[in-house]
Amino acid sequence: MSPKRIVLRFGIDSTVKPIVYRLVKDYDLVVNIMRADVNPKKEGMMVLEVTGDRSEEGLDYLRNLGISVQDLNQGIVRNDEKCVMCGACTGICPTGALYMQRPSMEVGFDGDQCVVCLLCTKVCPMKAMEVHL
Amino acid sequence: MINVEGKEIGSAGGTLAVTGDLKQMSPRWLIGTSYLGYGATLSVGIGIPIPILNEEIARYAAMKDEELFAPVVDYGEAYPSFTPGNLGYVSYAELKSGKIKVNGKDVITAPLSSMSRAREIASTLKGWIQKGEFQLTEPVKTLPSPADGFTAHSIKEA
Repeated sequence: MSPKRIVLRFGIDSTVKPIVYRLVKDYDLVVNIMRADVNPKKEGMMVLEVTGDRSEEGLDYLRNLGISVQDLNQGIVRNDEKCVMCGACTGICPTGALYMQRPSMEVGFDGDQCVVCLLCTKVCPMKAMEVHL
Repeated sequence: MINVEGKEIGSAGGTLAVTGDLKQMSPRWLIGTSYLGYGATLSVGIGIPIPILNEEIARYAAMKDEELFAPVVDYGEAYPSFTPGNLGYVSYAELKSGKIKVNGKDVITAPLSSMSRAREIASTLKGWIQKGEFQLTEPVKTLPSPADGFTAHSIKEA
């Protein structure tokens, strides 16, 4: 069972629900929180890695609560029209999702490693890193 | 450029003033950009042919990444407070490896200009020259120099 990386976005009302507990307890999933921005009475987001046979059921449970569930790979997209492969992002990317390929010195992007920290969107001089959440 | 041992090392840095007709330029090589902490600027892709007129020019033009050096400058504190000096010199080969040593510590490096675009420009220029399409012209206008009463203001380095 390979891990599934997802981005959750939830509104003010679902922030109070113990969703991680439910995923572990009711659906027997292994949950790894990679990034979370949860505040009382505010919209929030969470990047999760879930592993387990019943992961689809668990995700359906989240959707039924009105939480948006998106595949992580679609969250951050590089606009290849804008990117000039300068490499400014490779120094700041904490997971190495954006990396220099040597010796070609072209910038590679491995969406599986991305944790949606959004640092690249601020650093990119060309504004080539786009958020689709 | 002289290193701490007093040995001459290849200087890779330099600033070039150029003029051109904006309306004839391609947006592939002239892009409005914004650097966090610096501001709005232009990213310019420019190719300059170097005529090999003598042995000295040939020697400098053939310098490899291992022979070209850049100073490590502390832009966090020293540079904005006009403190002269640097944290040593590193070669372009070291910079391109992704890691340099500063005061004994490993520091991650990242480029700001595009090597792949630079190679594209160089090969385009090479193609023009080989086909005889790249022709030299008289200068459109000379750039101002100290003789014209033009003075440059720079930070004094140690």
